Amino acid sequence: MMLSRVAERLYWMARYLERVEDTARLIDAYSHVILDLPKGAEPGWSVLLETLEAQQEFHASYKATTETNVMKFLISNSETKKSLRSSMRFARENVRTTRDVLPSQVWELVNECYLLSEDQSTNSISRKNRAVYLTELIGRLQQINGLIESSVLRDQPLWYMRLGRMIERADMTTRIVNAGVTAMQQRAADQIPEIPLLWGSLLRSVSGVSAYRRRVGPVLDAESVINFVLSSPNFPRSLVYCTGSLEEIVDLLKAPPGLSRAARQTASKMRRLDISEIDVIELNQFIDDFQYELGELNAGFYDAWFSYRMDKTTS
Amino acid sequence: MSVTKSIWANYETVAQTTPPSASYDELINENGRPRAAARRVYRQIGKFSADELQERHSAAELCIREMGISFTVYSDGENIDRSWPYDLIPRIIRAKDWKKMNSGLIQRSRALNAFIDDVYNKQKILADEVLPAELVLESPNYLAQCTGISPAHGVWAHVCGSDLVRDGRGKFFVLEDNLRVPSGVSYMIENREVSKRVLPELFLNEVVQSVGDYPAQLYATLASLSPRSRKRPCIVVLTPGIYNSAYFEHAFLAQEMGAELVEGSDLFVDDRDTVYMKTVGGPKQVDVIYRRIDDTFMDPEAFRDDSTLGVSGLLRAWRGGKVAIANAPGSGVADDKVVYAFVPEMIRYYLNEEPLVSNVPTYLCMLEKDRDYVLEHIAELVVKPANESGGYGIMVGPHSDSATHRRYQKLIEANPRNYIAQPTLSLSTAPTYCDGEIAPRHLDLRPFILQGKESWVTPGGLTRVALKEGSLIVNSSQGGGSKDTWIVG
Repeated sequence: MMLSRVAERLYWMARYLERVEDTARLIDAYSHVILDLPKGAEPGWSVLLETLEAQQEFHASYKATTETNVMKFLISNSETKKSLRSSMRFARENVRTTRDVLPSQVWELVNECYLLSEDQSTNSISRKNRAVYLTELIGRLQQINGLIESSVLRDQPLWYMRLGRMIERADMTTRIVNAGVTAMQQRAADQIPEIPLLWGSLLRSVSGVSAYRRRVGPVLDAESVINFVLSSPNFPRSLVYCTGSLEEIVDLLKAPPGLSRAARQTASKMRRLDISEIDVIELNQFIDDFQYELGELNAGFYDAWFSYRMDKTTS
Repeated sequence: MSVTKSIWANYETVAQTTPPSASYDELINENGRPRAAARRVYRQIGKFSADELQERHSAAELCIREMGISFTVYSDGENIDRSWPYDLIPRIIRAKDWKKMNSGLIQRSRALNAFIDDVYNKQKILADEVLPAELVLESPNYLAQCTGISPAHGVWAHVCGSDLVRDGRGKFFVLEDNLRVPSGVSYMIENREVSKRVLPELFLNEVVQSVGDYPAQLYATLASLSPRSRKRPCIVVLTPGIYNSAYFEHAFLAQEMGAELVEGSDLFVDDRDTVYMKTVGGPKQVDVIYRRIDDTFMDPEAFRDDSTLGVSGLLRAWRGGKVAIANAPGSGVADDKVVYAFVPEMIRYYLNEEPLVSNVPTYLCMLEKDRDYVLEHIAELVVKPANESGGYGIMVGPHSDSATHRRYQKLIEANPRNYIAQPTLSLSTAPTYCDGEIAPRHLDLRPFILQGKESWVTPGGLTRVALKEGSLIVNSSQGGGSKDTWIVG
């Protein structure tokens, strides 16, 4: 049985690591698609802030929503919480305080990745350096996940990490889908023809380009892409997949019945979703509800494991 | 020999020009030639060019940064995580010389433990006036709450870190015994790790005693204290938290032992005096606590009620025999520079043996005769507060001005019990890589002695080295470095 405090830190370590990887991929994909769009047609950098719900925090430190400012805010600013650099620092702090339950190489890799972000992020704002840096960062994070999956005991610490990873991933995927749906709505209202490139970018930001091609085909359209990212049962970043994993992990961790039920309901609701039957407004509402449920699950984890209560007994 | 200047050229000159009365160099003899045990390493390092040596030095720094080997210093109101300072050139000690130290250190640890057990129980040594009773009973490290307890195997100080120095002829002396929460052992292990990664060729044809066994030995020592007989007792490492200077070590030892690293708030004591940790599945009973927090912070109920680091009721649980604590509360009574002076007497008194390792001659300012001598010869002596660690409050007479001498004379007169003095030893030196060249630097050695059901001593220990020329202050908190320490042959 592990310490509640340690379980909580492992959970957050995994959340932050996943957040860094997903945010880096989002920035990279967006920076990439911008290059392909005709000048004047690009949606602007505020889209990234909206996706990450960071407008308010951004405007507390910066005035103009320029590319440079947004990149500084999201990549290198060490004082705001939303930057890759801060998330990496939080991830490292959590590993530093849980080193005793992890193989030592996990700490070494996370520490190296943190040093990379401390040393390189300020130099990686320009378009030229940004792509190289983000690719390197994403690669390192994948390496960390690979190491964790191939060396950590199949036991509680691993499950708490997976729990954090999956809930964070579900959250990020939802945000990205939401950004796509919003763009779709705006374009419909303004009667702008759809740009397939944007849907390619959306897939790219969830690392789903080749999976989509194999499963659906090379043609990109709004409904197929959104459907794939929401509902593909075997794409490891889809919401059906993420919520299904959460359901499994919660059972492995022998969650109390209430929490177990909540996880099961979230997963089956996601499986039942059929976007061909609902309109965009309903989809928006569905996503909002889903975000709320993720928050409830997170609170349920605290109740079940992380906030210690005397009345529980060891099994 | 090649035509280009050897990396050792500078060192040979230094060795030949220093007067024979000066420090003993551990690797190089007075003729500038390597001592027998160091010959192969000397030759191997001699093959490096200055650039190559610099490259290895940088590689070591990078390796330490990436492995995250750090220590925390508190400065300007901030906690800064610093990379561990490591010197490339190993310190080499002959196995034959070390064997004697090994027995001497075990002997010392046995006597110290017999002493602690005695002063908290029958107090025979005080009744027999081997040392003045008030010296022990009035010491701030004597904890009345610990009287009448006899922990498992009669052992209180399960982990002891004794600081050793060598004099001008290379003879070892014990400078002090750290019995509270001695630290440094993880750095001893990591230094070896770094050496193997950065200087693998030095290990060719060498038989160096391994230091990696420490965590397993520590585990066995702690397990032998468990009040419940279980195959795998529940052992925890109690840390004050991430801001403690030795947090790295706490995490390291917990990880290496497969024990849980806990903070005070992770534990609680119930009304039947049993200690539990708070796990995701509820309370789990704890058998042995390896505590890395000071006595008086351990339990706000028994000691400082303002401590937020400890666990309320811990002392009750320990007194009731429900949990073992290493080192036991109150062990610090023998970790006092005045009590230190009596260790040779303790060895004779409790073990009926002659000490195998010597003490440094020590003047006790509480004794009138000694005090007069110290006040008169203050410029030649090293004066130390009886109850400080980390090198704080030490005055090195020959390195201080007369104003400092006068200040210490006043301090001693005001509170003689609190000061001791020792002759200024010419601490031994070893070749150290400093600013692109190899130069002699003073060092000490901290071996770790484990005492549970069995005793065990680390082969070698943590070598600390003063990086400033001529300096005798080796503490890492004050700019000291460290070396990998080899017992060979």
